Amino acid sequence: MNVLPAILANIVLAAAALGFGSLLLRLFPKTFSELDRLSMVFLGGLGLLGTVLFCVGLIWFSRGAILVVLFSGILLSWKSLALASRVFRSAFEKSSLTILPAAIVAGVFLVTAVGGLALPTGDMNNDAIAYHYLGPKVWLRESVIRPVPDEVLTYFPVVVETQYAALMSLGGERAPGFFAVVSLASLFLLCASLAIRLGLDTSGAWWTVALIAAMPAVYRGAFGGFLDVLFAGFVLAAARMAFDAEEPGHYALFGIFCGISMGTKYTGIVAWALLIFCSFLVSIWACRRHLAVVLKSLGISCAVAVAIASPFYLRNWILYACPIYPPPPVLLHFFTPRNMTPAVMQELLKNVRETGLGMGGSVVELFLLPFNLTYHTANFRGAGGIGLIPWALGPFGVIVRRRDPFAIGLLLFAVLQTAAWFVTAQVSRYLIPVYVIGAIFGVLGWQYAARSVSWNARMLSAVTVAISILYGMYTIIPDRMEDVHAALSGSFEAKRRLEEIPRVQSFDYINGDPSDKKILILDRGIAAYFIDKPYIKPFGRWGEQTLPGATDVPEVMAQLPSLGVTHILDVRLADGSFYLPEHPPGLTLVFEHGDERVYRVD
Amino acid sequence: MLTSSEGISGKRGQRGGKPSVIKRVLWPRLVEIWIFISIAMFFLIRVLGSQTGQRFVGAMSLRHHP
Repeated sequence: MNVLPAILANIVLAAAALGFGSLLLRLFPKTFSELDRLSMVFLGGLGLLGTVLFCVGLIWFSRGAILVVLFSGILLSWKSLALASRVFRSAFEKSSLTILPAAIVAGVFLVTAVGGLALPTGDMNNDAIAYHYLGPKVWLRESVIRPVPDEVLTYFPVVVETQYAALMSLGGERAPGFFAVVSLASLFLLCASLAIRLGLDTSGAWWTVALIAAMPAVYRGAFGGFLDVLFAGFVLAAARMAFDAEEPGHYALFGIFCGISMGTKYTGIVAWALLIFCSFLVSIWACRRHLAVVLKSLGISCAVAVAIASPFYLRNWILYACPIYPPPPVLLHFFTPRNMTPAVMQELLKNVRETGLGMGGSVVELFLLPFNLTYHTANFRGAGGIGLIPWALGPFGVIVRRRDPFAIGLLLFAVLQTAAWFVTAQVSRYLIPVYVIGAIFGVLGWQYAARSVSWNARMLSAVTVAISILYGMYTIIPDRMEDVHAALSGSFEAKRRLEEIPRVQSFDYINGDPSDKKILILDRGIAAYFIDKPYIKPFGRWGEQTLPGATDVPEVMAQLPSLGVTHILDVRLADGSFYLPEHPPGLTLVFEHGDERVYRVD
Repeated sequence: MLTSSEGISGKRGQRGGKPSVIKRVLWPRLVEIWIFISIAMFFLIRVLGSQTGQRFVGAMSLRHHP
């Protein structure tokens, strides 16, 4: 029964998102189907909910504040809920339901839902533990949204993390894991909507969603705190509007989705710029619109995008003297960010370079990219890959839709987005929007090969689809089995907790001791997420220094009386010694386990 | 399943002669070969090239050359 609050919290959040999304209903083009509207309402609602939570949380972020925001959304949700019920009724009608892809999608949802209910475990190499969940936990404890000074990545835009915080507050630690179901559902709805927009029927849309669900590289961006799937949904919703917009209201909606993307990840800025550029080109050359009208319309989009994203960037600008924090090197010419040391900058840049190396940055590698992404995805940290569909059948889908301005726009965006990804950070899950586009064109190509080419092509393309799905599921399901096992077995979950959380005994001691009011963590590698008490961590994992004038442990200890801590967590270093000497004056050893010691400050 | 598909070689292909041969004979073969090669590459790189595949191939070669 301890999973029930997590599930209920997600239901409440999804309903609130539908409510906020219903505010967008007036802006949709009249030609949009109910599926189009629902997918955009849901994604837009999630984005707006995260933004509203952030704005409220900058001043007041208690459970009460979160409930006020969520129930405001729920009050608005009746229209969207009616829309959702109509869409689902028609999607599951006998005439339109295709059993096999529906079963594949259901299987992915089942694994995600059960696995998502496991307690989070891991160390500082796990992004969720290191910052996606850390920020929300600290905000809830301090009742205000502020970056965590010992983790520079918590200064990022936080449209999704604010929702993790709401879920944690209502549903406990398991709730953000279950959010993977919500984010996958929102992306799948949009994929189906895009597939139909590009000329597929309901059955083709179901197959598109099944193939995307079975792409391990896409799936990886949905769980374990990663927000890439939701980000991809926001970007693709923006792309949908970019190439379908005709009136000022449509362009405003395009801007809203761009703004939400920028409020989710800094890379949303790149997607925004590319979408504006692509929309401009398609409007001028493919749709033959007047230059002045196009410029005015895109001006509306840009203004709205900036307005929607501004809370995240203004907060950083006002409080930390740079809108993008941590700043890319080029911004250092214009801003002098507070508390940003060169060492932190270097560590971050080194990390970006190392993780985004891919298979190299030469022109040859750029041209080989489609092949490498299909067959060597592990080299882009995307083990399991994207299946064969985009590579083997996508080109035929492109040929089929070559005269459709909407398809041209999407393809142009996919190419430019891939090029931007290639020159920045070649990490597979950052390319999810392109994989989705590739899958839709792949299904278009499949249907073309099956219907219009030959019996052999039909058989071969069926084999391609079967391989893509089977290999994807073969990768995805074993990957989640441990989470599923942990969610279903309390004893296994407890065992896994002990094995996978370093220093867990110390955390249990600190969390269970009522005299622990505030803890000083000396080691930068300790995952503060697991500590339920207020803490001070003088040194972060990227070299952050959170106490002015304290560059090492002796200097921290010299400031001890002014820090107000009641306990100190010390651990053994690689050379066998501890940070603190044996029997340090003024401290009493109250807990010792292996390489961990907890001292009480006398 | 396509609600609005278009001919792959456009209208010129309908007029007979060379484009028609391309459309009826060469293009379908090209599509088949492309898909077939994609599948073959998958088995070569992702299946046989994987650790499990390597172990299987190693075991097979040991069996034939003891």
